Amino acid sequence: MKLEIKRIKVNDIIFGDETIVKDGVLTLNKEELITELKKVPGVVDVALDFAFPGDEIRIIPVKDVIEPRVTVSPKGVRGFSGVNADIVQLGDGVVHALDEVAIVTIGDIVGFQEGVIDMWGEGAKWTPFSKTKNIVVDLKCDKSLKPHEHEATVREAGLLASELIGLAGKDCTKFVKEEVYEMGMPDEETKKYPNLPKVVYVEMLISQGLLHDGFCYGINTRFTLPTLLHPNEELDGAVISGNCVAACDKITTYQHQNNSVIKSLYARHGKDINFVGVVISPELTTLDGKFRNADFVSKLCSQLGAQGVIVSEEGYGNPDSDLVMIAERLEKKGIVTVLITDECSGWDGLSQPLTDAKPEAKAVISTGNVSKVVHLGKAKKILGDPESIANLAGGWAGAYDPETGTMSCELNAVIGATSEIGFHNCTIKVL
Amino acid sequence: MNKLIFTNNEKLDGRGISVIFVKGSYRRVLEECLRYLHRGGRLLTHPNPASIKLFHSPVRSILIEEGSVDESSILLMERAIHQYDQIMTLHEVDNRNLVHYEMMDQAHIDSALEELARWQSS
Repeated sequence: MKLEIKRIKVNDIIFGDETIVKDGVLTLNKEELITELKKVPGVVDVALDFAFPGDEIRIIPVKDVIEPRVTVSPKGVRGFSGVNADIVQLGDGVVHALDEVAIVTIGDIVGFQEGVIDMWGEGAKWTPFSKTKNIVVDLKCDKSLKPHEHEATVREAGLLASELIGLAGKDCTKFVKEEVYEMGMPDEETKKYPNLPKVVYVEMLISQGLLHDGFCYGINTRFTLPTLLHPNEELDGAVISGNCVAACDKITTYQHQNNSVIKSLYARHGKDINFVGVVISPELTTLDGKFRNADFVSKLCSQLGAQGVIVSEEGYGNPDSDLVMIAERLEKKGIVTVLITDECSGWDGLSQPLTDAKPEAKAVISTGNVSKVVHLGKAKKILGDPESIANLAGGWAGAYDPETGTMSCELNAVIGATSEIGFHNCTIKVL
Repeated sequence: MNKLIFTNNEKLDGRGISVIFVKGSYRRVLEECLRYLHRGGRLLTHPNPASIKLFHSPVRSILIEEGSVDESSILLMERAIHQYDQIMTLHEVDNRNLVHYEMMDQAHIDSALEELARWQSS
Protein backbone atom coordinates (compact mmCIF):
# COMPACT_ATOMS: atom_id res chain seq x y z
CA MET A 1 0.00 0.00 0.00
CA LYS A 2 1.13 3.52 -0.73
CA LEU A 3 -0.45 6.55 0.89
CA GLU A 4 0.76 10.07 0.19
CA ILE A 5 -0.34 12.81 2.56
CA LYS A 6 0.45 16.21 1.04
CA ARG A 7 0.27 19.00 3.58
CA ILE A 8 -0.95 22.48 2.71
CA LYS A 9 0.38 25.43 4.68
CA VAL A 10 -2.36 27.55 6.26
CA ASN A 11 -1.23 30.82 7.85
CA ASP A 12 -4.67 32.28 8.47
CA ILE A 13 -8.34 31.35 8.41
CA ILE A 14 -11.07 33.86 7.51
CA PHE A 15 -14.72 33.84 6.49
CA GLY A 16 -15.53 34.78 2.89
CA ASP A 17 -17.57 33.96 -0.19
CA GLU A 18 -16.13 30.56 -0.96
CA THR A 19 -14.34 27.73 0.80
CA ILE A 20 -10.83 27.66 -0.63
CA VAL A 21 -7.13 27.82 0.25
CA LYS A 22 -5.15 30.48 -1.56
CA ASP A 23 -1.75 31.97 -0.75
CA GLY A 24 -1.74 30.38 2.68
CA VAL A 25 -5.16 31.71 3.63
CA LEU A 26 -8.05 29.32 4.23
CA THR A 27 -11.32 31.07 3.45
CA LEU A 28 -14.56 29.51 4.65
CA ASN A 29 -18.01 30.26 3.31
CA LYS A 30 -19.72 30.32 6.70
CA GLU A 31 -23.34 30.34 5.51
CA GLU A 32 -22.77 27.51 3.07
CA LEU A 33 -21.05 25.35 5.69
CA ILE A 34 -23.75 25.99 8.27
CA THR A 35 -26.46 25.16 5.73
CA GLU A 36 -24.78 21.84 4.90
CA LEU A 37 -24.18 20.92 8.55
CA LYS A 38 -27.80 21.69 9.44
CA LYS A 39 -28.82 19.02 6.93
CA VAL A 40 -27.45 16.38 9.29
CA PRO A 41 -30.57 14.90 10.93
CA GLY A 42 -30.84 16.09 14.51
CA VAL A 43 -28.73 19.24 14.10
CA VAL A 44 -30.80 22.35 14.78
CA ASP A 45 -28.16 25.05 14.98
CA VAL A 46 -24.48 25.49 14.18
CA ALA A 47 -22.02 28.18 15.16
CA LEU A 48 -18.55 28.42 13.63
CA ASP A 49 -15.66 30.19 15.25
CA PHE A 50 -11.87 30.22 15.21
CA ALA A 51 -9.31 29.74 17.96
CA PHE A 52 -5.66 30.31 17.14
CA PRO A 53 -2.54 29.57 19.20
CA GLY A 54 -2.04 32.30 21.79
CA ASP A 55 -5.67 33.50 21.79
CA GLU A 56 -7.08 33.76 25.33
CA ILE A 57 -9.82 31.32 24.40
CA ARG A 58 -11.08 28.26 26.23
CA ILE A 59 -12.95 25.59 24.24
CA ILE A 60 -15.27 23.34 26.28
CA PRO A 61 -16.65 20.68 26.25
CA VAL A 62 -14.74 19.22 23.33
CA LYS A 63 -16.37 16.28 21.59
CA ASP A 64 -13.77 15.40 18.95
CA VAL A 65 -10.87 16.88 17.01
CA ILE A 66 -10.52 16.01 13.32
CA GLU A 67 -7.96 16.89 10.64
CA PRO A 68 -9.59 18.35 7.52
CA ARG A 69 -8.51 16.39 4.45
CA VAL A 70 -9.56 15.53 0.94
CA THR A 71 -8.70 12.40 -1.03
CA VAL A 72 -7.59 13.40 -4.52
CA SER A 73 -6.69 9.90 -5.66
CA PRO A 74 -8.48 7.61 -6.17
CA LYS A 75 -10.95 10.11 -7.55
CA GLY A 76 -14.47 10.33 -6.25
CA VAL A 77 -13.64 9.21 -2.70
CA ARG A 78 -15.21 11.50 -0.09
CA GLY A 79 -15.65 11.43 3.64
CA PHE A 80 -14.86 8.58 6.01
CA SER A 81 -15.28 5.12 4.54
CA GLY A 82 -18.17 3.26 6.12
CA VAL A 83 -19.14 6.22 8.29
CA ASN A 84 -20.46 9.00 6.08
CA ALA A 85 -19.29 7.69 2.73
CA ASP A 86 -19.37 4.57 0.60
CA ILE A 87 -17.16 1.71 1.67
CA VAL A 88 -13.77 1.89 -0.01
CA GLN A 89 -10.51 0.18 0.79
CA LEU A 90 -8.40 2.79 2.57
CA GLY A 91 -4.62 3.01 2.65
CA ASP A 92 -3.75 3.63 -1.01
CA GLY A 93 -3.89 7.00 -2.71
CA VAL A 94 -3.14 10.69 -2.38
CA VAL A 95 -4.62 12.88 0.34
CA HIS A 96 -4.36 16.66 0.75
CA ALA A 97 -4.42 17.78 4.40
CA LEU A 98 -4.72 21.30 5.79
CA ASP A 99 -1.56 21.35 7.87
CA GLU A 100 -1.92 22.23 11.56
CA VAL A 101 -5.62 22.97 11.11
CA ALA A 102 -8.16 21.12 13.23
CA ILE A 103 -11.93 20.86 13.33
CA VAL A 104 -12.95 20.91 16.98
CA THR A 105 -16.53 19.87 17.65
CA ILE A 106 -18.16 21.00 20.86
CA GLY A 107 -21.50 20.29 22.44
CA ASP A 108 -22.64 19.01 25.80
CA ILE A 109 -24.17 15.57 25.50
CA VAL A 110 -24.18 14.68 29.21
CA GLY A 111 -23.87 16.99 32.19
CA PHE A 112 -20.55 15.72 33.50
CA GLN A 113 -18.78 15.90 30.17
CA GLU A 114 -15.46 17.68 30.28
CA GLY A 115 -12.62 18.18 27.86
CA VAL A 116 -10.99 21.54 27.64
CA ILE A 117 -8.60 23.13 25.17
CA ASP A 118 -6.97 26.36 26.36
CA MET A 119 -5.24 28.20 23.54
CA TRP A 120 -2.97 30.24 25.83
CA GLY A 121 -1.16 30.17 29.16
CA GLU A 122 -0.71 27.20 31.45
CA GLY A 123 -3.56 25.20 29.89
CA ALA A 124 -2.00 25.47 26.43
CA LYS A 125 1.13 23.76 27.65
CA TRP A 126 -0.77 20.55 28.26
CA THR A 127 -2.92 20.03 25.18
CA PRO A 128 -1.48 19.34 21.73
CA PHE A 129 -4.48 21.15 20.23
CA SER A 130 -3.35 24.55 21.47
CA LYS A 131 -0.83 24.46 18.62
CA THR A 132 -3.35 23.90 15.86
CA LYS A 133 -5.48 26.55 14.18
CA ASN A 134 -8.87 25.41 15.33
CA ILE A 135 -12.16 25.75 13.51
CA VAL A 136 -14.64 25.30 16.32
CA VAL A 137 -17.97 23.80 15.34
CA ASP A 138 -20.58 24.29 18.05
CA LEU A 139 -23.48 21.96 17.38
CA LYS A 140 -26.89 22.38 18.97
CA CYS A 141 -29.05 19.32 18.55
CA ASP A 142 -32.71 18.49 18.81
CA LYS A 143 -33.48 18.25 22.53
CA SER A 144 -35.57 15.13 21.96
CA LEU A 145 -32.49 13.15 20.92
CA LYS A 146 -31.37 10.47 23.31
CA PRO A 147 -27.72 10.74 24.38
CA HIS A 148 -26.48 8.01 22.04
CA GLU A 149 -28.34 9.65 19.14
CA HIS A 150 -26.94 13.02 20.19
CA GLU A 151 -23.39 11.62 20.21
CA ALA A 152 -23.87 10.04 16.78
CA THR A 153 -25.27 13.30 15.40
CA VAL A 154 -22.35 15.39 16.68
CA ARG A 155 -19.87 12.77 15.46
CA GLU A 156 -21.42 12.71 12.00
CA ALA A 157 -21.60 16.51 11.74
CA GLY A 158 -17.96 16.85 12.82
CA LEU A 159 -16.78 14.39 10.21
CA LEU A 160 -18.86 16.19 7.58
CA ALA A 161 -17.35 19.54 8.60
CA SER A 162 -13.85 18.12 8.21
CA GLU A 163 -14.79 16.74 4.80
CA LEU A 164 -16.34 20.01 3.54
CA ILE A 165 -13.48 22.14 4.83
CA GLY A 166 -10.91 19.59 3.61
CA LEU A 167 -12.31 20.03 0.09
CA ALA A 168 -10.82 23.55 0.13
CA GLY A 169 -7.42 21.99 -0.48
CA LYS A 170 -8.47 19.80 -3.40
CA ASP A 171 -6.81 21.78 -6.18
CA CYS A 172 -3.72 22.90 -4.28
CA THR A 173 -0.39 22.21 -5.95
CA LYS A 174 2.02 23.67 -3.38
CA PHE A 175 2.73 21.73 -0.23
CA VAL A 176 4.70 22.43 2.91
CA LYS A 177 5.37 18.74 3.47
CA GLU A 178 4.78 15.52 1.57
CA GLU A 179 4.59 12.34 3.64
CA VAL A 180 4.82 9.00 1.88
CA TYR A 181 3.77 5.82 3.67
CA GLU A 182 4.59 2.79 1.57
CA MET A 183 4.69 -0.74 2.85
CA GLY A 184 3.84 -4.09 1.33
CA MET A 185 2.06 -6.95 3.00
CA PRO A 186 3.94 -8.78 5.80
CA ASP A 187 5.30 -11.55 3.55
CA GLU A 188 6.67 -9.02 1.05
CA GLU A 189 8.30 -6.92 3.74
CA THR A 190 9.76 -10.01 5.40
CA LYS A 191 11.38 -11.02 2.11
CA LYS A 192 12.92 -7.54 1.94
CA TYR A 193 14.05 -7.50 5.55
CA PRO A 194 14.53 -11.14 6.58
CA ASN A 195 16.88 -10.33 9.43
CA LEU A 196 14.90 -7.55 11.09
CA PRO A 197 12.67 -8.31 14.09
CA LYS A 198 8.96 -8.28 13.28
CA VAL A 199 7.03 -5.73 15.31
CA VAL A 200 3.24 -5.42 15.66
CA TYR A 201 1.40 -2.43 17.09
CA VAL A 202 -1.69 -3.23 19.18
CA GLU A 203 -3.98 -0.23 19.60
CA MET A 204 -6.62 -0.69 22.28
CA LEU A 205 -9.91 1.22 21.90
CA ILE A 206 -12.56 1.89 24.54
CA SER A 207 -15.59 -0.10 23.35
CA GLN A 208 -18.12 -0.07 26.16
CA GLY A 209 -21.28 1.70 25.05
CA LEU A 210 -22.69 5.19 25.40
CA LEU A 211 -19.97 7.85 24.90
CA HIS A 212 -17.30 5.20 25.33
CA ASP A 213 -16.99 3.76 21.82
CA GLY A 214 -14.60 3.55 18.90
CA PHE A 215 -15.28 2.85 15.25
CA CYS A 216 -13.34 1.06 12.52
CA TYR A 217 -14.67 1.51 8.96
CA GLY A 218 -17.87 2.70 10.64
CA ILE A 219 -18.32 -0.46 12.70
CA ASN A 220 -18.57 0.03 16.44
CA THR A 221 -15.58 -1.93 17.77
CA ARG A 222 -17.79 -3.22 20.58
CA PHE A 223 -19.11 -5.67 18.01
CA THR A 224 -15.79 -6.83 16.57
CA LEU A 225 -13.02 -9.22 17.46
CA PRO A 226 -9.53 -7.73 17.47
CA THR A 227 -8.85 -6.78 13.87
CA LEU A 228 -5.72 -6.57 11.75
CA LEU A 229 -5.14 -3.34 9.80
CA HIS A 230 -2.40 -2.21 7.46
CA PRO A 231 -0.90 0.88 9.15
CA ASN A 232 -1.94 3.03 6.16
CA GLU A 233 -5.61 2.31 6.75
CA GLU A 234 -5.59 4.11 10.08
CA LEU A 235 -3.54 7.02 8.69
CA ASP A 236 -6.17 7.22 5.92
CA GLY A 237 -9.13 7.61 8.31
CA ALA A 238 -10.29 4.05 9.03
CA VAL A 239 -10.50 4.62 12.80
CA ILE A 240 -12.86 7.18 14.31
CA SER A 241 -13.40 8.32 17.88
CA GLY A 242 -16.81 7.96 19.50
CA ASN A 243 -15.48 8.57 22.98
CA CYS A 244 -16.26 11.83 24.70
CA VAL A 245 -15.61 11.33 28.39
CA ALA A 246 -11.95 10.43 29.02
CA ALA A 247 -10.62 13.83 27.95
CA CYS A 248 -6.93 13.42 28.73
CA ASP A 249 -6.44 9.94 27.34
CA LYS A 250 -9.12 9.41 24.73
CA ILE A 251 -7.76 9.16 21.20
CA THR A 252 -9.41 11.81 19.05
CA THR A 253 -9.99 11.18 15.36
CA TYR A 254 -7.15 13.66 14.59
CA GLN A 255 -4.81 11.54 16.68
CA HIS A 256 -5.89 8.38 14.85
CA GLN A 257 -5.30 10.10 11.51
CA ASN A 258 -1.81 11.03 12.72
CA ASN A 259 -1.13 8.13 15.09
CA SER A 260 2.27 8.80 16.64
CA VAL A 261 3.04 5.14 17.30
CA ILE A 262 2.34 4.19 13.69
CA LYS A 263 4.45 7.08 12.41
CA SER A 264 7.32 6.22 14.78
CA LEU A 265 7.29 2.55 13.78
CA TYR A 266 7.13 3.54 10.11
CA ALA A 267 10.25 5.68 10.56
CA ARG A 268 12.14 2.63 11.79
CA HIS A 269 10.67 0.15 9.32
CA GLY A 270 13.41 -1.39 7.17
CA LYS A 271 16.09 0.09 9.41
CA ASP A 272 16.00 -1.78 12.68
CA ILE A 273 12.51 -3.31 12.66
CA ASN A 274 10.03 -4.92 10.27
CA PHE A 275 6.68 -3.28 11.10
CA VAL A 276 4.16 -5.95 10.13
CA GLY A 277 0.80 -4.49 11.09
CA VAL A 278 -1.67 -2.87 13.45
CA VAL A 279 -4.14 -4.82 15.58
CA ILE A 280 -7.17 -2.90 16.85
CA SER A 281 -8.23 -4.40 20.19
CA PRO A 282 -11.62 -3.47 21.69
CA GLU A 283 -11.73 -2.84 25.47
CA LEU A 284 -15.03 -4.42 26.54
CA THR A 285 -16.99 -4.21 29.80
CA THR A 286 -17.26 -7.95 30.37
CA LEU A 287 -14.42 -9.99 31.83
CA ASP A 288 -14.97 -12.87 29.41
CA GLY A 289 -14.81 -10.34 26.58
CA LYS A 290 -11.49 -9.12 27.93
CA PHE A 291 -10.12 -12.69 28.17
CA ARG A 292 -11.29 -13.52 24.66
CA ASN A 293 -9.81 -10.37 23.15
CA ALA A 294 -6.48 -10.74 24.97
CA ASP A 295 -6.26 -14.33 23.66
CA PHE A 296 -7.18 -13.16 20.18
CA VAL A 297 -4.64 -10.32 20.14
CA SER A 298 -1.94 -12.72 21.28
CA LYS A 299 -2.91 -15.20 18.58
CA LEU A 300 -2.94 -12.56 15.81
CA CYS A 301 0.51 -11.33 16.86
CA SER A 302 1.81 -14.93 16.82
CA GLN A 303 0.29 -15.54 13.40
CA LEU A 304 2.17 -12.50 12.13
CA GLY A 305 5.39 -13.91 13.57
CA ALA A 306 5.82 -10.93 15.90
CA GLN A 307 9.00 -10.83 17.97
CA GLY A 308 8.05 -7.51 19.52
CA VAL A 309 4.72 -5.84 20.23
CA ILE A 310 3.91 -2.28 21.26
CA VAL A 311 0.53 -1.97 23.02
CA SER A 312 -1.18 1.37 23.60
CA GLU A 313 -4.19 1.79 25.91
CA GLU A 314 -7.18 4.12 25.71
CA GLY A 315 -8.73 5.33 28.96
CA TYR A 316 -8.10 4.27 32.54
CA GLY A 317 -9.69 1.83 34.96
CA ASN A 318 -10.96 -1.46 33.58
CA PRO A 319 -8.85 -1.12 30.35
CA ASP A 320 -5.78 -1.48 32.57
CA SER A 321 -6.80 -5.14 32.96
CA ASP A 322 -6.91 -5.64 29.18
CA LEU A 323 -3.50 -4.02 28.91
CA VAL A 324 -1.73 -6.25 31.42
CA MET A 325 -3.55 -9.39 30.23
CA ILE A 326 -2.32 -8.79 26.69
CA ALA A 327 1.22 -8.35 28.03
CA GLU A 328 0.92 -11.55 30.05
CA ARG A 329 -0.17 -13.62 27.06
CA LEU A 330 2.43 -12.20 24.68
CA GLU A 331 5.36 -12.43 27.09
CA LYS A 332 4.46 -16.03 27.92
CA LYS A 333 4.84 -16.76 24.22
CA GLY A 334 8.28 -15.19 24.28
CA ILE A 335 7.18 -12.03 22.46
CA VAL A 336 8.82 -8.92 23.89
CA THR A 337 6.02 -6.53 24.85
CA VAL A 338 6.14 -2.81 25.60
CA LEU A 339 3.07 -1.05 27.01
CA ILE A 340 2.15 2.61 26.62
CA THR A 341 -0.25 3.97 29.22
CA ASP A 342 -0.82 6.93 31.50
CA GLU A 343 -0.91 6.81 35.29
CA CYS A 344 -3.48 7.82 37.87
CA SER A 345 -1.05 8.12 40.71
CA GLY A 346 -2.46 10.90 42.86
CA TRP A 347 -1.55 14.57 43.21
CA ASP A 348 1.89 13.67 44.51
CA GLY A 349 2.45 11.00 41.86
CA LEU A 350 3.23 8.38 44.49
CA SER A 351 0.11 6.20 44.46
CA GLN A 352 -0.48 2.96 42.56
CA PRO A 353 -0.55 4.07 38.89
CA LEU A 354 -2.75 1.38 37.28
CA THR A 355 -5.75 -0.58 38.53
CA ASP A 356 -4.24 -3.93 37.57
CA ALA A 357 -0.82 -5.55 37.34
CA LYS A 358 0.90 -8.67 36.03
CA PRO A 359 4.54 -9.68 36.39
CA GLU A 360 4.79 -9.82 32.58
CA ALA A 361 3.78 -6.15 32.27
CA LYS A 362 7.31 -5.03 32.99
CA ALA A 363 8.24 -2.73 30.11
CA VAL A 364 5.94 0.25 30.42
CA ILE A 365 6.14 3.74 28.98
CA SER A 366 4.19 6.30 31.00
CA THR A 367 2.67 9.22 29.13
CA GLY A 368 2.01 11.20 32.31
CA ASN A 369 0.04 11.37 35.52
CA VAL A 370 -3.62 12.18 34.89
CA SER A 371 -3.98 13.36 38.50
CA LYS A 372 -1.44 16.16 38.18
CA VAL A 373 -3.07 19.43 39.20
CA VAL A 374 -2.75 22.40 36.85
CA HIS A 375 -3.89 25.96 37.34
CA LEU A 376 -5.81 27.59 34.53
CA GLY A 377 -6.18 31.32 34.04
CA LYS A 378 -9.35 33.24 33.26
CA ALA A 379 -10.30 33.08 29.61
CA LYS A 380 -11.28 36.24 27.71
CA LYS A 381 -13.62 34.17 25.59
CA ILE A 382 -15.25 30.77 26.06
CA LEU A 383 -16.35 28.77 23.05
CA GLY A 384 -18.93 26.24 24.13
CA ASP A 385 -20.78 25.91 27.37
CA PRO A 386 -19.59 28.05 30.31
CA GLU A 387 -21.62 25.77 32.61
CA SER A 388 -19.19 22.97 31.79
CA ILE A 389 -16.53 24.90 33.66
CA ALA A 390 -18.29 23.82 36.84
CA ASN A 391 -17.61 20.19 35.94
CA LEU A 392 -14.04 20.98 35.07
CA ALA A 393 -13.36 22.67 38.37
CA GLY A 394 -15.82 20.72 40.44
CA GLY A 395 -13.56 17.97 41.62
CA TRP A 396 -12.92 19.42 45.03
CA ALA A 397 -13.81 22.38 47.23
CA GLY A 398 -12.00 25.60 46.42
CA ALA A 399 -10.87 24.53 42.97
CA TYR A 400 -12.58 27.52 41.37
CA ASP A 401 -12.06 31.14 42.44
CA PRO A 402 -15.04 33.15 41.15
CA GLU A 403 -13.32 36.45 41.97
CA THR A 404 -10.36 35.91 39.69
CA GLY A 405 -11.94 33.36 37.36
CA THR A 406 -8.94 31.09 37.82
CA MET A 407 -9.30 27.42 38.60
CA SER A 408 -7.41 24.29 39.40
CA CYS A 409 -8.10 21.01 37.70
CA GLU A 410 -6.40 17.71 37.10
CA LEU A 411 -4.95 16.84 33.71
CA ASN A 412 -7.91 14.45 33.46
CA ALA A 413 -9.95 17.30 32.07
CA VAL A 414 -7.52 18.52 29.41
CA ILE A 415 -7.88 17.10 25.90
CA GLY A 416 -5.00 14.87 24.93
CA ALA A 417 -2.89 15.85 27.96
CA THR A 418 -1.69 12.30 28.65
CA SER A 419 -2.32 10.74 25.23
CA GLU A 420 -1.55 7.05 25.46
CA ILE A 421 -0.41 6.97 21.84
CA GLY A 422 2.14 9.67 22.63
CA PHE A 423 0.42 12.41 20.62
CA HIS A 424 0.89 15.05 23.29
CA ASN A 425 3.25 17.53 24.89
CA CYS A 426 4.57 15.62 27.90
CA THR A 427 8.07 14.29 27.72
CA ILE A 428 10.75 13.10 30.09
CA LYS A 429 13.74 14.78 31.58
CA VAL A 430 16.86 12.69 32.06
CA LEU A 431 18.32 13.57 35.44
CA MET B 1 -26.07 -20.10 35.90
CA ASN B 2 -28.25 -17.26 37.20
CA LYS B 3 -27.06 -13.73 36.76
CA LEU B 4 -27.43 -10.97 39.33
CA ILE B 5 -26.96 -7.23 39.17
CA PHE B 6 -25.72 -5.41 42.27
CA THR B 7 -26.69 -1.76 41.98
CA ASN B 8 -27.57 1.44 43.78
CA ASN B 9 -29.01 2.89 40.59
CA GLU B 10 -32.70 3.42 41.32
CA LYS B 11 -33.41 3.82 37.62
CA LEU B 12 -31.74 0.58 36.57
CA ASP B 13 -33.82 -1.79 34.49
CA GLY B 14 -32.33 -5.26 34.90
CA ARG B 15 -33.85 -6.37 31.57
CA GLY B 16 -35.14 -9.53 33.23
CA ILE B 17 -32.02 -10.17 35.32
CA SER B 18 -32.47 -10.31 39.12
CA VAL B 19 -31.42 -7.04 40.74
CA ILE B 20 -30.00 -6.76 44.26
CA PHE B 21 -30.58 -3.15 45.20
CA VAL B 22 -27.97 -1.74 47.55
CA LYS B 23 -29.03 1.25 49.60
CA GLY B 24 -26.07 3.57 49.75
CA SER B 25 -23.06 4.72 47.80
CA TYR B 26 -21.07 3.47 44.80
CA ARG B 27 -18.52 2.11 47.29
CA ARG B 28 -21.26 0.31 49.19
CA VAL B 29 -22.22 -1.52 45.97
CA LEU B 30 -18.64 -2.75 45.62
CA GLU B 31 -18.57 -3.82 49.29
CA GLU B 32 -21.86 -5.72 49.09
CA CYS B 33 -20.80 -7.39 45.89
CA LEU B 34 -17.49 -8.43 47.49
CA ARG B 35 -19.35 -9.83 50.48
CA TYR B 36 -21.48 -11.91 48.11
CA LEU B 37 -18.45 -13.10 46.12
CA HIS B 38 -16.92 -14.48 49.32
CA ARG B 39 -19.89 -16.85 49.50
CA GLY B 40 -19.68 -17.74 45.81
CA GLY B 41 -20.11 -16.28 42.34
CA ARG B 42 -18.07 -14.80 39.55
CA LEU B 43 -17.80 -11.27 38.23
CA LEU B 44 -19.15 -10.91 34.70
CA THR B 45 -18.37 -7.21 34.34
CA HIS B 46 -15.23 -5.46 35.47
CA PRO B 47 -15.92 -3.53 38.68
CA ASN B 48 -14.06 -0.42 37.46
CA PRO B 49 -15.32 1.93 34.74
CA ALA B 50 -13.19 2.91 31.70
CA SER B 51 -12.71 6.60 32.44
CA ILE B 52 -11.80 8.61 35.52
CA LYS B 53 -14.97 10.70 35.31
CA LEU B 54 -17.13 7.65 35.93
CA PHE B 55 -15.38 7.03 39.26
CA HIS B 56 -17.11 10.27 40.38
CA SER B 57 -20.51 8.74 39.65
CA PRO B 58 -22.95 8.37 42.56
CA VAL B 59 -24.22 5.09 41.07
CA ARG B 60 -22.65 1.83 39.96
CA SER B 61 -23.94 -1.51 38.76
CA ILE B 62 -22.00 -4.78 38.67
CA LEU B 63 -23.12 -7.94 36.89
CA ILE B 64 -22.21 -11.28 38.43
CA GLU B 65 -23.01 -14.95 37.92
CA GLU B 66 -24.00 -17.27 40.77
CA GLY B 67 -21.69 -20.22 41.40
CA SER B 68 -18.78 -21.43 43.45
CA VAL B 69 -16.19 -19.14 44.98
CA ASP B 70 -13.96 -17.55 42.35
CA GLU B 71 -10.72 -16.29 43.84
CA SER B 72 -9.84 -14.05 40.89
CA SER B 73 -13.19 -12.25 41.15
CA ILE B 74 -12.60 -11.59 44.85
CA LEU B 75 -9.11 -10.25 44.21
CA LEU B 76 -10.35 -8.07 41.36
CA MET B 77 -13.12 -6.62 43.53
CA GLU B 78 -10.69 -5.95 46.38
CA ARG B 79 -8.42 -4.09 43.98
CA ALA B 80 -11.39 -2.16 42.61
CA ILE B 81 -12.31 -0.95 46.10
CA HIS B 82 -8.73 0.05 46.76
CA GLN B 83 -8.60 1.97 43.49
CA TYR B 84 -11.93 3.64 44.15
CA ASP B 85 -10.66 4.84 47.53
CA GLN B 86 -7.42 6.08 46.01
CA ILE B 87 -9.25 8.23 43.46
CA MET B 88 -12.11 9.41 45.65
CA THR B 89 -9.81 10.50 48.48
CA LEU B 90 -9.09 13.46 46.23
CA HIS B 91 -12.56 13.98 44.79
CA GLU B 92 -16.17 14.51 45.68
CA VAL B 93 -19.01 12.41 44.36
CA ASP B 94 -20.64 14.33 41.50
CA ASN B 95 -24.26 14.37 42.63
CA ARG B 96 -25.18 17.30 40.37
CA ASN B 97 -25.28 15.07 37.31
CA LEU B 98 -26.99 12.06 38.91
CA VAL B 99 -29.52 11.67 36.11
CA HIS B 100 -26.83 11.35 33.46
CA TYR B 101 -24.73 8.98 35.55
CA GLU B 102 -27.81 6.77 36.05
CA MET B 103 -28.36 6.73 32.31
CA MET B 104 -24.69 5.97 31.56
CA ASP B 105 -24.71 3.15 34.11
CA GLN B 106 -27.77 1.63 32.44
CA ALA B 107 -26.15 1.95 29.01
CA HIS B 108 -23.02 0.14 30.12
CA ILE B 109 -24.97 -2.68 31.78
CA ASP B 110 -27.05 -2.95 28.59
CA SER B 111 -23.81 -3.15 26.61
CA ALA B 112 -22.61 -6.07 28.76
CA LEU B 113 -25.98 -7.86 28.59
CA GLU B 114 -26.09 -7.49 24.81
CA GLU B 115 -22.60 -8.94 24.56
CA LEU B 116 -23.45 -11.91 26.77
CA ALA B 117 -26.72 -12.50 24.91
CA ARG B 118 -24.83 -12.73 21.61
CA TRP B 119 -22.69 -15.54 22.97
CA GLN B 120 -25.63 -17.41 24.40
CA SER B 121 -27.59 -17.25 21.16
CA SER B 122 -24.68 -18.50 19.07
